[in-house]
Amino acid sequence: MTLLNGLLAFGALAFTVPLAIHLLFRNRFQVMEWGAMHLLEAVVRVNRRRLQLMHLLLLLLRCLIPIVLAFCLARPVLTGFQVLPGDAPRTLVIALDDSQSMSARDSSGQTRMERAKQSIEVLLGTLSRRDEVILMRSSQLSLPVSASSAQDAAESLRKVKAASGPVDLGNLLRAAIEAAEDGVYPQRQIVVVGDFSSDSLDDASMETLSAVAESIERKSLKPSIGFLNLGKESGQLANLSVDSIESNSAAVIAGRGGSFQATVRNASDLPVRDLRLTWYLDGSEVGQASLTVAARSSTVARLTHRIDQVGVHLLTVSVEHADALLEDNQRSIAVDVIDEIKVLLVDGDPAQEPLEGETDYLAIALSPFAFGGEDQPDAVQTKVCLRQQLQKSVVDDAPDLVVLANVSDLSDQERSDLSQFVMRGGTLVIFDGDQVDPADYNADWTCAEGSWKLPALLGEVIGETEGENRLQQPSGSHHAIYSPWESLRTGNEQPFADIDIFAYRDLKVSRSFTESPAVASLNVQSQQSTDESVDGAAVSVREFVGEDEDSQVGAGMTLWSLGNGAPVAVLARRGDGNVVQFSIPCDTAWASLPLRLVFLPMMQQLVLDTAGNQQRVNIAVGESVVVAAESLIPTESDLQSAGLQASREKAAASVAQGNGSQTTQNQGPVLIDEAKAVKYRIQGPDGGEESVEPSGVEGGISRLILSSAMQRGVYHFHAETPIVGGLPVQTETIRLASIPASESVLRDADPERVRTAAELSGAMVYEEVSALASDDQQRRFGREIWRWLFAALLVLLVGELLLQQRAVATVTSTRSKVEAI
Amino acid sequence: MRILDLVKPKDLARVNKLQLLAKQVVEGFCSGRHRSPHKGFSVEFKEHRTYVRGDELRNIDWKAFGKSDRLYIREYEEETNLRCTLLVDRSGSMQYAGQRSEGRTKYQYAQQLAAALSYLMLGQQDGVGLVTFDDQPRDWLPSRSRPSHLRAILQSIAEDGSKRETDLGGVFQKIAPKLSRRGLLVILSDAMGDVESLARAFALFRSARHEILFFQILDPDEIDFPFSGRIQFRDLERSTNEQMVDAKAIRDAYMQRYRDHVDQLKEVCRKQRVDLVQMTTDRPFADALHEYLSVRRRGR
Repeated sequence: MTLLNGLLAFGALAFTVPLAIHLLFRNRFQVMEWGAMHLLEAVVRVNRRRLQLMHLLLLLLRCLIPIVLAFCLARPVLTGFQVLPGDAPRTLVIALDDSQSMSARDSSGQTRMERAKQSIEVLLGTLSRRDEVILMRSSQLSLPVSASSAQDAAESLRKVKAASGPVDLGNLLRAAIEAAEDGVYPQRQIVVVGDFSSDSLDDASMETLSAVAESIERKSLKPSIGFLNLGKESGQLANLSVDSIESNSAAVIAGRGGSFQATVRNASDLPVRDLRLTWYLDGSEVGQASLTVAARSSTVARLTHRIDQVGVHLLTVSVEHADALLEDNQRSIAVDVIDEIKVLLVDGDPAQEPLEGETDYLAIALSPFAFGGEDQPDAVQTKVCLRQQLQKSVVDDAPDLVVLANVSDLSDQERSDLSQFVMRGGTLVIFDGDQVDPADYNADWTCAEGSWKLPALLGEVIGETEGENRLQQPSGSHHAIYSPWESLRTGNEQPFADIDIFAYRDLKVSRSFTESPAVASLNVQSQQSTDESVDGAAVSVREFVGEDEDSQVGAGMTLWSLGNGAPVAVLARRGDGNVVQFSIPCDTAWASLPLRLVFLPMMQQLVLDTAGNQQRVNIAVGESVVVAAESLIPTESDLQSAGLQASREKAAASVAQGNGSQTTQNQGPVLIDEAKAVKYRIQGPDGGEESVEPSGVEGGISRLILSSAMQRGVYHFHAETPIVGGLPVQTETIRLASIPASESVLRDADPERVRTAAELSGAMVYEEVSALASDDQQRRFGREIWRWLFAALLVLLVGELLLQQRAVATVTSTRSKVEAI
Repeated sequence: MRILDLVKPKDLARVNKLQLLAKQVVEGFCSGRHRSPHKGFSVEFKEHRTYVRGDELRNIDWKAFGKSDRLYIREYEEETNLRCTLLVDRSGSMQYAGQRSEGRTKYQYAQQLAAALSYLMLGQQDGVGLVTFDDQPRDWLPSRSRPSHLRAILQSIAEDGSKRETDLGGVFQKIAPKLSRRGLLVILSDAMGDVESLARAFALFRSARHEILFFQILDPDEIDFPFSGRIQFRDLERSTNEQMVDAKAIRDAYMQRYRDHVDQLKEVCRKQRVDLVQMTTDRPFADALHEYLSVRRRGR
C-alpha cells in the first residue's frame, strides 16, 4: 500500500487527543456518600462489563476518527503483494469486431460500432505517450499488424465500418495474442470489443479458445485480456432483412428469362405489412413487389427477368423499412449471364431411323425448342457429329461440352484433343454403350498439359441388354448433395423411380473418389458459399470445383446410383474442366431414361451446371477472389465498340502465354499489341484502386487474385488491353462479396457461454468501458481506497454520535417518565 | 424525672424544636377539620335510656326531655385507646441528603415525621410507642397514652442515626414477639434491604393482627438518579464499599433496578395489606399526616 499524500498520514497522531482526554478524565471523579447502595451494587455488578466495553468502544471510535480521517486525506492506494507495472509503457491490442451486426442500433439510435468507437477512444485516452496501440479488425486478421500511437489508432478507428462477415471469437483472440507478442513492451493488454453474438461463440470457437488458453499458459509474458461486450438485449431489437437472393436456374442465358427469388425475414414480434420490395439490375429498377411478412417468419419474392447482355450483372433487392439493422435491408447477388452453350454430340452408333441414333434423345432434350421449330432460343446449341468428325469438330466448333455417346475406341490424337479440351475447361460427358471398349477408356488421357483418368474405371456390363429375361434394376435416386438436380424433385419426390434399367456398366469408383474427404470438402465449400443456396448441404459443380485444390485431385462425386449402390452417374474435376460418366447409354438400349420426363431437365441442368460459366462471382466477405484473366479479354463487341476488329482467340492465346508479354506472330487482323502487357487493376467497394498482376498460370490460364475481400460490396476487375495503333480497350468484370445472412440474426451469446469463454482465456468481461478502465487502473497502479475510508469515517462519526446520544436520549426519556410519575 | 435529666440541653432544644414543629404541623393540619382536636374520636354516643334514681343530672338529655317530656340519660361508649408503635429506621442509608431536600437527611425527615405523628396521636389520647433500629432494635419505648410520654419519645428519636447496615426483615422479626397486643405499626424507613425478609416480617405482624402503615422515605436523588460523570459512590452503611461508575451510563440500569425494587415492595405490601406511603424528603409533612389520617379512617 502506498500513500499519495504521505505527510497527511501523520495527522493520524491526533488519535492521542481523545486518548489523553480519556486518561485525564479517568482520574477525575466525584465522591458521593450514597445510601441506596443496595440498588446500585446490583446494577454495577451486572453492567460492569458492558459499561467497560462501551467505554472502550467509545474510546476506540474517538481514536479511530482522526486516524481514518488522516489516512483518507493521505489517499492510500492498495497495491497488493506483487510489483505492479504502474506507469510502465505497455502494448495495447484492441481487437475490434467490425462485423455487420455491430451496425445494429439500440433504442437511442446509436449503433454498436459507434459505442465501440467511443469506448475505445476512452481507453486510448488513458494511454501515455510511450504506450503503443495495435488496432485489429476482425475482417482483417490475415493482414500484418503494426503498432501505432494512440492518436494514430484513434484516427484509424474513425474509418472503421461494420461491414464484414461473422466473427470467430477464438480466431480473433488468437490473432490478437499473436499481435501482442510483437509488442515492444512486456506489459501487454488485449481488449476484445464486440457484440459477442451467438455465432461468434459457437462450439468451434470455444475449441479455439481452449487451444488459445493453452498457448497463453505456455507464454512467459501473459497478456491481460478483457472482453468489452457491447451487445445486449439483441432479442428485443426488431429487424427485417433480405436474407438471400437465389437464381432458380443453374445458369442464366443471355436473352432468356431468368427466375430469381429473394427471401425476406421478419425477426420482430410484429408483422410487417405493405412492405415495398424493389428489384434492381445494375442499378436500374426492374421490378417491384408489396409484401406482408408475418412476425418471426420469412416470405419469398420472385422475379423473372430477361438479361440480354453477357457478363456479370448485379441484381439487388431492397426493402424500405426502418429497423435496428438498416444494412441488411438490401442484398445483391452477381449474376453471371452466359451465351448459349455449345454442345457437341458424338454419335457412336448413328442410325437413319428417327430416335434410333445414339444421340437422338439427347439432342432433343438439350434443344427442345429447336426440335419443335420454335423461335425461342434454347440455352443449349447442339451439334451432332459422327465418330470420324470428332477431332475436327472439337477444334473448329470450340464446343463447351462434348458428349461421347457409345463411342468406340478413340485414336491417340482424339484422346489428346479431348484431354486438352477438358484441361482447358471443357466438359466431357461419356455415355456407355455396347461399343465402348473399357480398356481404351480406362487408359490415361494424356495431352501436352498433363494426363488424367476417368473418375470411375469401366468394368463389365451387368444385366441383359436384350431378350425377354433381362432384369430390371431399381433405379435408386440421385445424390442429394448435387443441387442442380434438386429442382427435379419439384412435384415428384422420386424423379428417378420410374426409370427401368436393364443393364449398366459396372463403374468402379476409386475409394479415394468417394470417401468422406470429397464429401467433407463439398460441405466446407457449401458452407463457404455465399448464401444463394437454401439447402446448405447441396452444391453444384461450381462449388464442387471451387478453390480447394485438394478436392480436384482424383475425387469424384456420385450423382446418381442404383438401388444396389452401383453408380450410374459420376462427376469429377479434371484440370479446369469436368468429366461426367454415365454407366448407361443415352438411348433406350439399356434403360428407359430417355423416355422419362426427368431426362430433359436433368440433362439440361447437368449441362448448364458443368458447361456454363463456372467462375464464382459471389463470394463471402473475407474469402479470396479469383478472376480468370481470360474473362477480361476484349470480346468482339468490346473491340467493335472501340471501332476495332480482332480475333478473340488470338487475344486469348496472348494472355495464356503470359500477359501478352511474349510477342507472337500476328495472324489476320489481330490488333492487340502483344508487345505490351495488359494492365489490370482492382477497384474495391470503397472506391480504392490497386494494380494487380496476373498470377497462378495453370493450364494456360492466368488468374487475378485478391487475397481477401475484406468489405462487402462489388469488386471491379478492370483490364486495359493495348491495341496496335490505337487506344487501349477497357474491359471489366465484377465480383460481389456478401455478408452471410447469419449476421442479420441479432442474438446474444448465452451469458454462461461468454463467461466460460472468458474463463478459458483468463479474460474479464465488461459491459462498460469505465469498469474496464477502472480495473486496468487498479491492475496497474492498485486500488485507491480513500472513498472506502471516507465512508468508514462517516460511519465512525455516526456511530460515535449514536453511542453518545443514546445515553442522553435515555436520560431524557427516563426523566420524563419520572416527572410523570 | 424532668426531661432535662434525660436529655442534654442541646438535645432538649432539639426536642423542643421538634415538639414545636410537631405541634405546628398537627394543629395546623387539624384546624378547620375538627371543632376541637381534643374531643377526638374516643367518646362516642351509644343510646338513650330511661332515667332512674341515682343517675347524675348532667347526663340527662334535656333536649330529648323537651321533645318527649320524659327523662332520658345519654349513654356513651368509651373506646379503648389506640396502641401505636413507631418503628423508626436509623441505619446508615437513612443518613443521605440530596440537594433538593435542602440538606435534610432521610433520618431527619423520619424524626420529624415521627414526632409529628406522636404528638398527634398522644393528643388523641392514643398510646404511642417507639422502636428505633438499624440492623438491631436499638431503642424501645412501650406504648403510652400519657401526654408526658411525648417527651420520652422525642428524646429517643432525637438521637443521631447510626452508620450501621439495614436489616428490616431481621429486626422486625425480632420485634414482632414483643408486640403482643394488637395495634398500629407505623414504619418509617427507606426500605433499602431484602424485600423477601421484609415480607416474612410483615406476615408475622399481620398474624398478630397488627395494622401496618409503612412510610417509605426516600430522597429524590434515589428516585431519578440525576447524576452524571464519573462518581465514586461510597456506602453510608459500609465504609469499605465503594463503586466507581459513570453515572450517566448506568442510569438506565439503576432506574430499572429501582422500579423493580419498588414494584416488589408494593406487591409485598399489597399481599400483606400494608399501607405503603412513599414520601420524599422534599415533600411536606402534611401529606404524610393526611395519609395517616386516611388510613385511620379506613381502619374505623
